[in-house]
Amino acid sequence: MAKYKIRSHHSYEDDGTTIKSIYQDVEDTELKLGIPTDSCNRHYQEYLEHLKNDMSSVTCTDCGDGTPNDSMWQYLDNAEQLVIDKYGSDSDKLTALRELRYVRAMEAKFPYESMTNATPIIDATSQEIKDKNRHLPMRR
Amino acid sequence: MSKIKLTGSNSGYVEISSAADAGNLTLALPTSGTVLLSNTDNVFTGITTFAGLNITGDVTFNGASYNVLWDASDNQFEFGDNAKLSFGDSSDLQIYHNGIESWIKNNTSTLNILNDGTTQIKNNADNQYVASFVTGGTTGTSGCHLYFNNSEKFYTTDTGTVTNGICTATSFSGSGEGLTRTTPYSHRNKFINGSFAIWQRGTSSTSSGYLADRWYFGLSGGSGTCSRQEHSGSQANFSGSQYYLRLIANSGGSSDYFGIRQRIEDVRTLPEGQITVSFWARGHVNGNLAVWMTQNFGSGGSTDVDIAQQVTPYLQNDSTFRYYSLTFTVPSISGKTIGAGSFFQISFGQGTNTSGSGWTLDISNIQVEVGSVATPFEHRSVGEEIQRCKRYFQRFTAYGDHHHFGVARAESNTARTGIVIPVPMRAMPTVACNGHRTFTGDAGYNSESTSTPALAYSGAGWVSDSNIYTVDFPGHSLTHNRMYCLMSKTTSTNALTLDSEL
Repeated sequence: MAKYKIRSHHSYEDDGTTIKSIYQDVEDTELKLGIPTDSCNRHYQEYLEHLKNDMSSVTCTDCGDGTPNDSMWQYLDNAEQLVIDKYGSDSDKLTALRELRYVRAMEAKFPYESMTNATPIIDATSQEIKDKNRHLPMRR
Repeated sequence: MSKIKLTGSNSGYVEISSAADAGNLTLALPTSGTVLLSNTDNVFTGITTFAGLNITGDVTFNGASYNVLWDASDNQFEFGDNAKLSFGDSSDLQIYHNGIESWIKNNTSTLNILNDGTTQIKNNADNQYVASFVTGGTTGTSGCHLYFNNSEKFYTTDTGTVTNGICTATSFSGSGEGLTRTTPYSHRNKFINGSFAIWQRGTSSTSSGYLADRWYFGLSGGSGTCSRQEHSGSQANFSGSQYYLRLIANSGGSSDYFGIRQRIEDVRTLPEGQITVSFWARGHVNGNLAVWMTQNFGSGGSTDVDIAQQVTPYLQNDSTFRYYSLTFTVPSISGKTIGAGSFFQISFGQGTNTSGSGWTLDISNIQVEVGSVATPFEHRSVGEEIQRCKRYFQRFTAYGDHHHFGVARAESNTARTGIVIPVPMRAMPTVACNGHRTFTGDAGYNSESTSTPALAYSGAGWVSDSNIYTVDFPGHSLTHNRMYCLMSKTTSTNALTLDSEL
């Protein structure tokens, strides 16, 4: 079982089924901790460190509102699939997600500081997104 | 000219004496070419005139007990021990050496030392001041200056006196209105729970983590135990502290950096300059007990800065707590970027010592304060201390029985409630609870869940000074928007905890 699980929590309209708003947190499934995505929280900092080294230890089955956030669901291997499942393969959210990941990989930003993590993202990005961001310096 | 020669017999003497009532006996010699001779023709010299006395060579003045010598070759009068130079009709002022000490003794009225310049008292080698007295009114120069080991500690000024260092007195007279301090009387101790009074998480552990409030127990690859102990015996009243902390590093399982640490919120809390760590300790640590520090500049901040460790003298492994203090120099944070969650970390333990031998440390009343002087431990009440601790950790106890968390509204199958907290926490806390139940007024028990609760905020919705936190307890079977009584699970051993430690 993965150590961390990104969870989506919902508020509903009066009918109890229509989602009004969503927030996400991270559950440490081993220690059974509900970790808020607050940069001042030490468990959240530990989670980020863990994510850098072993992204496979995090699971997520829901991308929330599809917008990248501090839960970091957007960097998981199945992030695109989560967006597709919820919003379709032609959604703007999917394009935005792909571009975000590509730009961060090119800029060597979290969690793509290492080429090992960055290369698969860069290679999988469409030429259209690459052309749009051709001003970015080549990743070395 | 007629001549008279007086010659004595073998056993007698020749005497020329004046009559008792005749006044002076006059011996008249020519002005030159004549000398007084002794019986071996030694010449009595130096007697040149009866109007004065000029003696060439040593002269001894024989006293009843002590003598005085004019030593011609040393060019000095030499007073023997206890031979005194005395002034005044009644020996009012005396200068002498008694064989052990030297004395200037004034027996009558005032002893005046008059000098228009600087009067100095220095050591025999003339390279260290003891005192100097400077006449005049020149600011910074004139006045009385007192020294310790050639370091000026006290001097007078045109407005009063200045003491460099600790001024100790058994009493103080005056209003004290004008007194100023560079360090505060209270709130000196930057550690929280330095007396180890608060243990919300438990009182013994063999795992790394927080145990005594605010104190992290770090095994650092070794193995051992951290526990709460109670002062007893002759040290039962230990500056008002009931407990102390015991660290036991297992033999063969010990490790460098094994120990405890506290992260003091905000790296700026201990500013550039000297700080002093003080504590009471006993036991045995491999080598010496080490104290080391780190400036952490928070999320997105500058890289950590380590402050080199210092060690205590070798701890004595007996039943007595002894006092230790170490002074460190904190570097400037000028130019550093300080991000959220910065802290100043201070650690106690094995430090860089890599010995694997087992050891035991008892430590109590830990204090860190600004300045180079360790002041007495700042004792705080349990009530005050626990309030401080709750900024970082809060526990809503529910061990072994139902505990009422609050009234919850059903957000679909999640019980959403507001937890009233006594102290707003440092940052969004991590939430934990092993089990929870819902009840309704009509039907009683409704549902049970072991799902981990969550703090019901997005990052932007956090209000740092709020006294009520919304917490979601998921995994129940509820009717949306209905109200339920939310309680702990009967067998829950972890209650509800909010953790905002650094």
